[in-house]
Amino acid sequence: MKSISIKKKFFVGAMVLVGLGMGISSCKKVLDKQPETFLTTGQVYRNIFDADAAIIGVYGKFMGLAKQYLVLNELRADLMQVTDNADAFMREINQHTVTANNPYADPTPFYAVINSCNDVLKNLKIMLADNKIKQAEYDQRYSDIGALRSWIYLQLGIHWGDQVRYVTSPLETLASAKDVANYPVVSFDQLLDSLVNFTSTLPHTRPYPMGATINTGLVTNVDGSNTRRFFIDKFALLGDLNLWKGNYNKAATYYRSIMEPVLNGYDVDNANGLYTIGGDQYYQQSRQAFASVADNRDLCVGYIRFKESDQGSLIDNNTQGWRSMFARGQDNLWMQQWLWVLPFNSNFAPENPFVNMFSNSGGSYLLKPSQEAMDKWNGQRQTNGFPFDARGNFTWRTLNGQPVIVKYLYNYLDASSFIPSNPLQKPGQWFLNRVSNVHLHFAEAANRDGQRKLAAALLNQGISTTFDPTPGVTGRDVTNIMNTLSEPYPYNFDARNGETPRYRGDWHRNAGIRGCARVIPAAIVGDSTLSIESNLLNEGALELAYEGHRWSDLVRISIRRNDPAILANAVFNKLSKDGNPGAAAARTKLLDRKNWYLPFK
Amino acid sequence: MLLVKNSRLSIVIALLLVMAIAACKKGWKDHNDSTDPNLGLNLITAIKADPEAAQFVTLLTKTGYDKVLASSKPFTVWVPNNNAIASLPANVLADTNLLKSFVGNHIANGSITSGVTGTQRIPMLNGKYANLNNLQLDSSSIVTSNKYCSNGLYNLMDKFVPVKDNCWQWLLNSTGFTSSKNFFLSLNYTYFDSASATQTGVDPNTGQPVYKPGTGLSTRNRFLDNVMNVSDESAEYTFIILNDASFAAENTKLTPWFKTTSVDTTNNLAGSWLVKDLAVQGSYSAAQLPDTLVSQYGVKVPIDKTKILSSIKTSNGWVHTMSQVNFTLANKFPPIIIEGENPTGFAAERTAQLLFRNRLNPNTGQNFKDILIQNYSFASYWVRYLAKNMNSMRYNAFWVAVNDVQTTPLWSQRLGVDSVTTKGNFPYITVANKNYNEVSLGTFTVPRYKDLNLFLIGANSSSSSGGGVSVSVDYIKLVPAF
Repeated sequence: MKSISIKKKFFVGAMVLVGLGMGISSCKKVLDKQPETFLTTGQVYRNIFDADAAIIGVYGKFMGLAKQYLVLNELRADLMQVTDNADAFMREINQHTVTANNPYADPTPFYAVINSCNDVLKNLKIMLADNKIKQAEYDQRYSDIGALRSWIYLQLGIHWGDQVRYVTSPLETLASAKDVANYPVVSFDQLLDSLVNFTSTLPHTRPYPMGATINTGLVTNVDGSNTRRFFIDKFALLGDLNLWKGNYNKAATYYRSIMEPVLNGYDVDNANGLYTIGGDQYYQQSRQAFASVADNRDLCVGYIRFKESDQGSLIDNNTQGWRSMFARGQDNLWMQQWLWVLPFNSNFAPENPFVNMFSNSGGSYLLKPSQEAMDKWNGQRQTNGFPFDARGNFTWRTLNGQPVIVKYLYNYLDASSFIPSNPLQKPGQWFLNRVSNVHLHFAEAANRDGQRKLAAALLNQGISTTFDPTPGVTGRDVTNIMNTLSEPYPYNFDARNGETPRYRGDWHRNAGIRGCARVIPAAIVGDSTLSIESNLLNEGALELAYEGHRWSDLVRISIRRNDPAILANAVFNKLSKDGNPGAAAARTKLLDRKNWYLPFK
Repeated sequence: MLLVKNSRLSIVIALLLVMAIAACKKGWKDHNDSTDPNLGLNLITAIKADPEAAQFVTLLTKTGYDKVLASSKPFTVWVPNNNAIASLPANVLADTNLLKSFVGNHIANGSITSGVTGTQRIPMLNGKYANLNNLQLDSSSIVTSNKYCSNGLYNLMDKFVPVKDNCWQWLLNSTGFTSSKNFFLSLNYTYFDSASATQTGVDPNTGQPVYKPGTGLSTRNRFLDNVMNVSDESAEYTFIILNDASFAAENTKLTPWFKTTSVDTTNNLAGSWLVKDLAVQGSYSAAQLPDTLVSQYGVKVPIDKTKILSSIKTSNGWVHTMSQVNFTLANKFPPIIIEGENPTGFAAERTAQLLFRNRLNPNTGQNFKDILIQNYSFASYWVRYLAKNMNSMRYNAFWVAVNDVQTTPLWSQRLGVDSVTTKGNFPYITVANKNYNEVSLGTFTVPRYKDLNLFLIGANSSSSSGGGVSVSVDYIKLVPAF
């Protein structure tokens, strides 16, 4: 009996222990179950593939800013106008009467991407310290995301002015959100200083390298597009930051790096060997090359050869000429012009916002070109005498009786009927930066750095023609003309094109922005520095309309000249030509620089 | 746990909760509820209950519109009050159709708010339209506005809105304007509309449908189709009708310029040319008429107000009968412009040399399009243009031909009328460099009203280079000479 009772006691005790143990372990299991659809902090940043995935993730999030970015940078400026379909918030943006709850004036989405950038930057550092990635891999990725963050901060500074907090560490937890207060509000000028300091110390300013020598996880083919131009161009950003800051020589030096692509790691490892010195791609990549008049395989405004004065022979399709840069696939010509483009695929998120914004078939048609913009194109004269600029025809069209911005719709609409090829498929691209913009900004910097003739050359007819006292004469020794080799870097260009002795300078195909667009050179009136700068500003409207550069160009030049009227009059012209009764009020408001900025929530 | 232990406390709390919820509910109901009892009633019930509308209710019942207003679709009713209905003419009361149209003239589909500034043209149930501006429906004032019901709203007015003829009906019903009326009626034609015809079978040989004879036919009018549809109720027009004497006078003025082989055709053409400018868009009362109206064809119509015989307000504008509209011939026959970029034919296919250009005219500051053909290697190359409906009169010819491509050699070209071979009055003219002005070419006479071919003819020599043999033209202008 006794033994039984002891046994019983022991049994009960054992049961209790087992039961307790089960209870504890089951608790642990139940309560600490790992989420199935989310990764926890321990599961990411383990190796280079995780790092690459994080970077792609940041860019995916960044694409969500496309709509707000375009509304802020174009609708606030003078080229874009609301339609009757636009909501009240867009109208506020349009006429500069923004109220506090306007979602387009909310900086939160920008900060959300900045926070992701900060998170990636912090973890890349940890990975390097833990030897999970190599130094070179770290340099490229850290620089990419660091530059992206600087670019977003520059946008914040442009639109919110002196109200921005420069936050550089991730807010991972609720508690750390309080730390924001440790980052003081900085003025736009201080912000620029911080951005210049941070960005210019980034270890890797070239594009991601291609080829087998190093991990190529980020430069690859995904869903039908190559990722070479997915990532921010750091030279362009550094150029822009210095241009804002007024460091003209530095800005020009950075821009020049893009303009010498082969020396600076652009597409150099391309397996098909097109980038060898002396090839077409070598002479045309980033050089704003002249038209290929015989076959129109170019990105210039063109007409059928020998019928250049016939309106019906305008090259107006998705595979040739200026228009095709917004429509064509990523072939060699496309690579020559584009620096930063993010594609929207109709098969997965994020959804392309541009069809809804611009298209009047299959979209909501919220925004349209302003009369002021149309007048700008129609005020130009082409070299064949036509009284307009064909770039206008390619940028907007009258479809179903309405003016429609088509730059973003060429992948969505049929190339000739302009009816959606498939209304349910809305492919498109977010055009962020291209070579023409870099040339215009280089010229802006050069002009202020005393290189006025070079600036005008890049704007108008190209270096070769401009630095030639008798253009068009054949059979000359061109050794001492068609170049600026006597100037220091970054202003030394060799555009010589001659037969005896034979010269084919790297820049001999440069045609200038207006040369390529087939419009006559912009006249220089009065003070040449100011006149060239105004011409460059205006050219940005003609060439880059609706690509998100207009507001920043107007603001930068208004600040540089300390002349708010440049910005205020541009907006006034738009509003008054479109019959907006708030035109005069907007002008008065914008004459005060503090009203250029959106309310910061 | 606490509640279970202390059952009394739990009951108290539960009660409090119930009370709180109940109180909330009542408060919100009061807050959201409307105080307008009419909203529970449909239109007909509400109007019947309104003593001011008693007379109109009788008419609603008599015409069956009471059932319409009891339906669930929304309507807006402008109810003439009892005083107003008292002055309704007896003939309307006696005729069921007239009465139905009269009542329908006060009801519109949908909920339309009265008292909004700005004229809206409201379609009424009888097919007519009325202009609503603020508290005015046509000439009647709204006394009590916007009484909302479950299926729309009604208003009370001090007067009724009479059912009027439209401009075209007024003409058809008029007496004393025989010439005008007969002329307009002569423009009637019979139109066959297969959709409204009765199909009886299919022709076994052709596969074409066979229709019952006499079905699908309707009468249409060329003036209404092609010039101005003054029978359209949805817009407003001003329509001028000439009395017999002035119709004859103006017609006689025009007949010399419409010479044909038949007197009837000439009269018909002259009459059409006369009346095409007699209707304009917009409602102009006699007081509002300017001294010159401009027709849709750009012709100035002189209005001498002392010659207005009568002015009639119609359901879609105004009819003015007049004893004289003294058209000036030069206004009635404006210059004819043939655009260079609209050719109808060429001597030979020269697509490779053919340029349609866009240009800026520095004299006018206007953009223009033109045609330029160079180095086409064809002697006396010509481009043909069609000038339609040319009157039997003398014309002075001009052109703007722009040579902005070369100062030397200059080319010469000439105009040909009706033929490429007969030189007529038109010699070769050298096209000067950068001349954007009209160049006088000479005069020609068209003997009979017809369509006319014009030719732009190049030099009688063949060349494929140098541009010495070219043709270009912005436009050819033919100015009638009386």
